[in-house]
Amino acid sequence: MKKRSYKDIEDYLEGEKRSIEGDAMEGDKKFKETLELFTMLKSLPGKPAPRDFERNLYKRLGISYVPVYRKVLILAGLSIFSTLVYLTGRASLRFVSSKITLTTVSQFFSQVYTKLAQAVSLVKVGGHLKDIVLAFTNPWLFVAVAFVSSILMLMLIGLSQEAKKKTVLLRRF
Amino acid sequence: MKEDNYWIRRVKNGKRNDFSPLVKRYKDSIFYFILKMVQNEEDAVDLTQESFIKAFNKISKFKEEYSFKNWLFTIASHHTIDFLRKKKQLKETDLLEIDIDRPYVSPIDAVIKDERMKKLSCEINLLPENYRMVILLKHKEELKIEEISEIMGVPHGTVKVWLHRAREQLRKRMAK
Repeated sequence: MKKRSYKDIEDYLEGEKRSIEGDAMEGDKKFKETLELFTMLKSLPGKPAPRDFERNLYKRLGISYVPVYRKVLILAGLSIFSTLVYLTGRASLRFVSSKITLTTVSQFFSQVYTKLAQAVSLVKVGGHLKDIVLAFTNPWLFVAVAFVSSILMLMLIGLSQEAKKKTVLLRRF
Repeated sequence: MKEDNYWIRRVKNGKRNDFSPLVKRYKDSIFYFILKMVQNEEDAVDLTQESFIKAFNKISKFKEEYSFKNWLFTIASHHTIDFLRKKKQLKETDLLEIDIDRPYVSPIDAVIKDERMKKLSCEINLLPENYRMVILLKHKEELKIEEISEIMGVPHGTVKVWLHRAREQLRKRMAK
C-alpha cells in the first residue's frame, strides 16, 4: 500500500481527493487515527479571554471603554426617551389642533392682549403709588395735604349735616 | 482583512478608540494561543494584554499588505517565547522535576467534557513549545506553512519538520 502523507490527509479533509482515493484510505489504520486527530484538533474548544480583559487593557492603553451592556442600556434608554417625546409631541399637537378655530384663535389673542394691558396698567399704577409715597416723605407737603384734606373733610361733614335738614342753605357758602 | 485595515487606518489617523474592534476580534484567539503555550491563566492574561499594547504602540509601522492577524500572532508568539525563556532560566530545576507521564490539567481541560478531547488537550500541553506552537497555529488558527514560518521566524522546512513530528507524537499518544 502506498504510504500516505499528512498533506494527503489534509487534502482529503479539504475535499481535494486528487492525490488520494478516500475508499482506499479508509482501511488504513494510520489514516483513521490521523483523520480523528485532525478533526479533533480543529474542533478543540477554545477558552475566551476573561470578562474584564478588555476593560483592563483599555485602561492600560488610555482608551475610553464602554461595556456592551452599558451601550445597550444607553441605547434602550435613549430610544424609550425619544419615543416618549415623540408620542407626547404628537398627542399635544392633536389636542391643540382639535381646539384651534378662527374664533378661538382671535379670542385667545384678545385675551392675551387684555392680560398684557392689565399687566402694563398695574405697573403704571405701581409707578404712581411710588410717586405718592415718595411725595409723603416731604414733611411740608404732608402737612399741606393734611391741612387741605382736613378742610375738605370739615366741608363734607358740614354739607352732610345740612343735607339732613329739609332745606339746604347754599348762601352760607 | 479589509475591515482590519479600515480600523488600523483610523487608529493611525489618531482615533485611538477604534483599536477596540481589533481587540474584540482577536482577543480570544490570542488568549487561547498564549494560554496553551504558558499553561497559566494569569500569565496568559498578562501576556495577551502586553501583546495588544505592543501592537497598539507599533501600529504605525504596520504595513497594510500584511495580514494583521499574522502580525498580531507574530508579536504574541515572540512575547510568549521570551516569557517562557525567562521562566525557564528562573525555574530550570522546577521544570526538570515535572513528571512527564502525569498529564497537566490546564484551565481549558477543566472545561472540556469529552474525554478524548481532554486527552488531546493534555497531550498538546506535553509537546515541546515549538511543536505546540506549530500545531496550534496550523490546526487551531488554520494558518499556512509560509505564514507560520513568518510568525515564528524559522524556515519553511523547519516548520514542516516540526509539524510532522508534532503530529506523529500526538497521533501515537492518542492511539495508546
